[in-house]
Amino acid sequence: MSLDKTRGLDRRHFLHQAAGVAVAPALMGAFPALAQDAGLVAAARKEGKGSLYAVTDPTIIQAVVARFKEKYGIEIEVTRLVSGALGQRLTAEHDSGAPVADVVMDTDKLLHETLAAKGMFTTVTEIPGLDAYPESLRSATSVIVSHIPYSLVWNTSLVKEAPKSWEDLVDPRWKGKLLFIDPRVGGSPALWHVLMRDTYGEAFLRTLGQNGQPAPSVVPGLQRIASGSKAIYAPGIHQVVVGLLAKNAPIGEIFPQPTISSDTSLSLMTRAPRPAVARLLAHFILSVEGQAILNKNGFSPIKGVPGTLELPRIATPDYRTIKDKIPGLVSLLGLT
Amino acid sequence: MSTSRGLARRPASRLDGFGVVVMVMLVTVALFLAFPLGTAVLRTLGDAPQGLEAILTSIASGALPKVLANTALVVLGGAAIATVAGAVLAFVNERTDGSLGAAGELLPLAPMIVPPIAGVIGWAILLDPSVGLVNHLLRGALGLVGIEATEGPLDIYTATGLVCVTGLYLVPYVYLIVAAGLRGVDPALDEASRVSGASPLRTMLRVTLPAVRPALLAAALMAVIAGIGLFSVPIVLGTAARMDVISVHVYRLFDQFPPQTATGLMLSGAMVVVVQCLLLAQHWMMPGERHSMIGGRGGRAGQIRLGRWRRPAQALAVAYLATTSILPVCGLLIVSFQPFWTPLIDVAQFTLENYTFVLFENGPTSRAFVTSLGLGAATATAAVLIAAVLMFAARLRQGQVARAADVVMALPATLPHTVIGVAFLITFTPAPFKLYGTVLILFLAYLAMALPFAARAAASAASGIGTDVAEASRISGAGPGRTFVRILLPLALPGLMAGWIIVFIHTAGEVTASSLLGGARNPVIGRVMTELWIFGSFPQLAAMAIVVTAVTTTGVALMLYLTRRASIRT
Repeated sequence: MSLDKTRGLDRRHFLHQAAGVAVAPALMGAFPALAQDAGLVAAARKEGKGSLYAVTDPTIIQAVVARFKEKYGIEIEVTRLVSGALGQRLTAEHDSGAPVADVVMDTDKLLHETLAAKGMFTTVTEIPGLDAYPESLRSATSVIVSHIPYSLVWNTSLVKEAPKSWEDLVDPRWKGKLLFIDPRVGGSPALWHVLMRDTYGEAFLRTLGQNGQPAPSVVPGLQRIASGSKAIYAPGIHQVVVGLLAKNAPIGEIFPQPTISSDTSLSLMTRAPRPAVARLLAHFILSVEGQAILNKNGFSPIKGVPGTLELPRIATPDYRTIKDKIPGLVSLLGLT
Repeated sequence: MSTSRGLARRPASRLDGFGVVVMVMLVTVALFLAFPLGTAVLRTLGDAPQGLEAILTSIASGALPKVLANTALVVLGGAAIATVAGAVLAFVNERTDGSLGAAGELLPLAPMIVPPIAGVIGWAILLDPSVGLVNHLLRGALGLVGIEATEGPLDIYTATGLVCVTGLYLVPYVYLIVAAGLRGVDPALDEASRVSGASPLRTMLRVTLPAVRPALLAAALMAVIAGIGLFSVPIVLGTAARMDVISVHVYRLFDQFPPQTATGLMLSGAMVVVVQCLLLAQHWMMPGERHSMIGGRGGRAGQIRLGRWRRPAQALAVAYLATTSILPVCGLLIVSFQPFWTPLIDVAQFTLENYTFVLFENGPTSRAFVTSLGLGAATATAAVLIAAVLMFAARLRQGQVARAADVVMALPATLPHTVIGVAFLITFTPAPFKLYGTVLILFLAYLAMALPFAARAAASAASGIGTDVAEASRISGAGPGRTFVRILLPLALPGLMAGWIIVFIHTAGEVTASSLLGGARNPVIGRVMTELWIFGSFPQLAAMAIVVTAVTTTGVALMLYLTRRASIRT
C-alpha cells in the first residue's frame, strides 16, 4: 500500500479547515533533536535484531523500521497483534520468563494500564530525551505516538453531496445503505457509540440500528463502502481510507467534530531481551523523523511534523467503564 | 497354525501386546487433553463466581438465550442441508454411472479447500445484495422479463444466507464419511433392488442409504459438531445478519482484554456437555450393527445404471459443484486482480500487486506456507494413526474401551478453538515446557483439535468392516497388532484417508488457535489470513486464498490419487 497518491485528501482537509472548524490546541513544540547517544547505539548494535509488537498498518511500520535499520544498522522484527491476543501473549511471555517483545505499540489504553499494573512495562523516562515530551502525552509507562481520529466515510458514486456531520448518517436517504461498526468488537469503536449517544441522544443510536447494518470490523466495512455495497459508514480509520484512496477507490472522508481518537501508545517491556534496542527504537519513533514516517498523512502528537495533518477536536469518554456500557449500546442498536 | 480352541481361550478383555499399546495410547491421549484443560480450569477457578454471575446476568437479559437459539437454528439448519446434499452427492458419485469420477470426488471438498474467511468473503462477493456478481447477473436476467430491481434478489447478509453457507461448509464432512461408508457396502444389495425393478431413486432411498445408516448418522453428528465450532462463517456474515452464535460469542469473551476466561470456559463446558449428550444419543440409537459390512471380498462396488436419470443426475452434480465451488473461487480470482474490491470489472485495471504483496512483501507468508502445510500433514498423519488404533481396538473389544475412546476423542470437538489455544498457551508456556513460540506447541494444539475428526472418520471406516475379517485373521494365528496392520488398516484406507484430508485441510487453514500460538517466529496461514481480513484488504485476502487453494488442491488431489491406487491394489 502506497501512501503517496493522497493529494486529494490533503486538499479536502484544507477545505475542511477553511470552513472554520476548530482544531485541537497545539499540544507541544517539536521534539528536540537529541545529541546522538553513542553509548546507547553501540549497546543496541551489540544486542542485535529487536522485536516490536504493533497494531499499526504493516506498510507504515515497515517504513519506520526500514529507516531505523538504515540509520542504525539494527533490524526490527514486527509482529502484528490486536489487543486480546496481544495481552495474552505478552502475559504468557512475561510469566514464562521467555520474553520475545522489546517494544509494544497498541491502541488499547485499558490493556496498557493492566499490563503496567503487573509490572510488565518499564518507565518510559528511560527513553533518551523524553523529558521534552509533554506530560499530557505520557504516563509513567507509556507514551502516545499517534492519534487516530475516527472519520465518516462514504462512496462518492452513491453519495453525491459530501456529508458534513455525524447526523448525516441517520438521514432517511441512507436507510438500507448505511453501515456502522458493531460495538461488541472492542473498546475504541464502542467509545464512538457512547459519544454519539451522549451528543445526539439515544434516538440517534436507535435510528442507526434501524437504518443500517452492523459491520464486524473496520477494514471489511470500508471494503464494502469502496465497492458500493453500502453508501455511508462510520467510524472509519484514516490509515485504511488513505490506503484505499491511493488505489483510486471512490470514497470520501471527513472528521466530524467532536470525534474519538484511538491513540497509539508505546511501552517498553520490563523483561525486554534487548533493552538498548528498545530504548533506541522508542527514541527514533518519538523523533521528528520517526514521527514523519509513522504519521505521514496522519496525525502526530507533535506539532509541526512535516507531512502530518492537524487534529480535529477530540472528545474523551471514559474508556474504563466502556465494557459495562456495551450491552446498553447493543440493545439501543437492536443487535440482539 | 493355531486353532479355534486358541481363540476360545483368549477372552476379548485380556491384555495382550496390542491391548497394552491401546491402553497406553488411550491414557496418554486422555492425559494430553485433560492436562491443559485442567490447568486452564484451575487457573480460572478463582474467577468462577464472577463467571457464573456474568452468565446469569446474560441469561436474565435474554442475550445468552438468544445466542443459543441462533446457534441451534444455524447449526441444525446447516447440518440438515449438509446431510441431504452430502448424502445424495456421495450416492451419485460413489454408486451410480452418474459419477463424475475423480473430479466429482475432489470438488465437494472445495468449500473446505478455500481457506476459511476468504471462502466466505468469496460468497459475499457473489451474493452481496447490491454489488454481488451473481445478483448482478440475476437482475440482468430478470430485466429481460421486465422485472427491474436495484437490489437482490439474493441477500447473503441474512439468517437464511448464514444457514445456507454454513450448510455448504458442512457438506464435505458428510460427503467424506458417507462416501467411505458407501464404498464399504456390498453392491449385491443394490443389484438385487435393481433386478427387482426398483428405480435408482427408490434404490438409493430404500436400500443403499439405509445400509449406511451408521455412516449417515455419524456424518450428521459430525456436521453438528463441526457446525457448533464453525467460526469463519458466522464471524463474517453473522454480524450483518444480526445472528450472534456461540462460537463468535465465546471468541469475543477471549478476544477482549482482560479476557473473560472464566465465563468463556463455563460456556465451553456447557458445549462439551451438549456434544457428549449427542454422542451418547448416537450410542443409544445404534447399539448394534444393523448395516451390511465389507465381507473382506475386496473389489470396487458395482454401479447402478441411472438410465434416463443419468444426465439429470450428472447435471445436478455439475450444477452443485459449479455453484458451490467454482463460482466463489472465480469471485475471489477476479477480486484478487483488482486494486480494491469493486463490481465494475475492468480488465485494464487488473494488477498482480496483491499477489506480489502476499507472496513477497508480506514477510511471514512464505514461511507460513511451509509451516502450515508441514503441520497439516504431520497432524493429519498422527491424528489418523492414533484414531485408527483406538477406534479399531474399540470395535474389536466393544464395551468400556469403546466408550472411553469415543468420549476422549470427541472431547476437543466440543471446545471452541480459542479455548484449546488458551489452554495450551497457559499450560505449555511456563517451565518445564517453555514451548511458547515454537512449532511444537502449534502441533500439539492442532493434534488436540484434529482428534475428533480423525476419530469420526476412523470409527466410520471401522464400522464398515465386519468383525469376521479380524476373526479370520486371528484364527489364522495373527496377533491383534498384525491383524490391525495387515488386514484392518488396508481395508479401512479409503475411510481413513477421508479423515486425513479433512484434518490436513483443517489444520493448514486453522485460524483461531493459531492467532494465539502462532507469530513472527512460527507464522501460519490462518493467522496471516486473519491479519489480512482485519488489517489488509479483500483483494489481498483473495490473492492469498487463491494461492493457498491451488497448493492444497494439488496436495489433496495427489492424496486421493494415491489412495485410490492403493485401495484398488488391496
